[in-house]
Amino acid sequence: MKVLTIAYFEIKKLFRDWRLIVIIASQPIVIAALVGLISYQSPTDINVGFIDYTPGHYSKMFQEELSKQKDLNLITYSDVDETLIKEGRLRGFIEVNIDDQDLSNASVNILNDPSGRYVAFIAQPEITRAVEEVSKNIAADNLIATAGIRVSDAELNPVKVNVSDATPFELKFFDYYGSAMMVLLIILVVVNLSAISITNERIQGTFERLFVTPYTKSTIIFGKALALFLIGVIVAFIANLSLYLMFHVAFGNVWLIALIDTLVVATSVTLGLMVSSLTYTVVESVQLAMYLFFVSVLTTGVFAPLESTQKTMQLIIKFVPFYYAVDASRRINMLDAGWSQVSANVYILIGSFLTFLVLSIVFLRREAK
Amino acid sequence: MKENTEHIEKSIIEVNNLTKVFDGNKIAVNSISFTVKKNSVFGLLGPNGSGKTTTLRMLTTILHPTSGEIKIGALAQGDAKQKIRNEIGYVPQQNALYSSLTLWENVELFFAAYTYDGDRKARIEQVLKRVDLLGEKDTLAGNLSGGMAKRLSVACAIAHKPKIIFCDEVTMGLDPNSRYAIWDLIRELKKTSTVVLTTHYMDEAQKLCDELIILREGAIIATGSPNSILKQFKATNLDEVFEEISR
Repeated sequence: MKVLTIAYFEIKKLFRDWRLIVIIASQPIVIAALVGLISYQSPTDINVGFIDYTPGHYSKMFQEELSKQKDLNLITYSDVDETLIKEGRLRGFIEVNIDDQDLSNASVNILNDPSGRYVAFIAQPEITRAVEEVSKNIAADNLIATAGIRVSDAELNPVKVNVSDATPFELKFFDYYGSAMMVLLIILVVVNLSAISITNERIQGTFERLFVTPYTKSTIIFGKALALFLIGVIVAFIANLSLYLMFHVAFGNVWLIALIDTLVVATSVTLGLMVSSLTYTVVESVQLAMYLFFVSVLTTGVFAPLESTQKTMQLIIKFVPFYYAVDASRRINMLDAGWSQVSANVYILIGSFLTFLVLSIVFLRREAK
Repeated sequence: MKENTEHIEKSIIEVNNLTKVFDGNKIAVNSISFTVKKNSVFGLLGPNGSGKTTTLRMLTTILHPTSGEIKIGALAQGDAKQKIRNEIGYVPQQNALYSSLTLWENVELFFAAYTYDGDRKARIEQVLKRVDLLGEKDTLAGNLSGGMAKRLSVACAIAHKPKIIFCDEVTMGLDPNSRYAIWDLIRELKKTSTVVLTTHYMDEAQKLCDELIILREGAIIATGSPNSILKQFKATNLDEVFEEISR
């Protein structure tokens, strides 16, 4: 009953501060919109310099094949000028040496802008495909010229490579980020809000006053946790709804996603309360909360997959609870993973929530500094 | 034996050799002992840093003593802090109110911590009336004047009918009228409770306190009723005593 009283007045206090409510409610919407717009599509309009050293039938064919790719803007040059890459005007150069009279030394060289990796990562498959197309034509022409044999495409290229995603969904470029954002938006808002809840009361003196009453440490923490949890659930709902309505982000099993989000809210609340129990001032609380938020962002595989992480770091990441939340969110939303595929993540999140809850009670000091 | 029982009946607080040391070597309170009689106003006086607030914070269970013993009623603080918290009320130096809650809600929140057999709503109404704030019950605490906020702070501390009320610098920063209103309130509270207060104002101590101790550098340098202390220091008022001990 006392827990409910604390929770009830905590919610009342928060909802009476309309500026805070506007900030809390707008954060998931605005940040979801920004991330969605920034990572809306795979890169397009990549400016690439095209140099044809030996103009002829095949080099023209190569250029035509490349021009079919709407993502590449081919701009013709007579020679490589690296300054254009340094100035950011071009993402790379494609140098073509396909001499119709001497095909023995035919080559295509790519000079890549390493700061963007645009040509290497995005345009290279298209360039490879164009080269394959031209090579196929050269081989077919050779067969006709030397043996008078006309062959089909299938005979020239008997082994086909088919790449497809292991998902029943039609995924968009943004879905990779969208699933992670479902988790990170909750962490951003809820950890920060929880982290100042106790510190703020310490500064106002109300906490000391509560401690002279029979309210126990666990009553206060449970009461605050319950109120913040309810607000966190609203934040999670707003975040998911924003991502869905604005960008039609892919959703897997809605109940599983709701479970993961609920656990992320609970873990964020108790992590925030632990921060608040540990710190003495609001500045300390906010700084530590932001610190933990950025550690979470960096370790949840948003910027780089786990496989590209240094080996020791890979082990450390395994101890970050929110890594499991983002991992589960992505697998549910992008691969339609079910309970059996994400149950381990769920148990880890429950364990983390309980650990932070206990620690926030243990670290809570009655005495002010 | 009879004398001992009588002593326990009369005194509601017993402090024996109470010491508080911060950071291993800063002695804030140095082995002080005193008793507080039931239904009296007891003052803790002294200049800044003398240890009066630290003493009050130990009495209210906020701080753990480094050594020594505190007994509230028949309860030793070491074993029964939670029970003691049921018996006391605390008016902190800063008002320590929730500015975004109404007056009624502030009292209700702190009052909810205690078990109370009667009608809670009626009691809150009674308490707000007692501090002359019932008409403002729906006003947010953040919109109150200093004097009104202090009266609300007192209301939050007395709703559960505590046996002892601890007041830390309760009239600090208030205008004379607000101070007098708090004094009247304390005199009225004395009828049903024991009041322990710290103050800088010597006139306040002289007018309100039945007994007091004067602290300097964590030790008691004078104890007794205001009149006995005046005699002890051959002074006409406590300001002179304060001036004397501050030298």
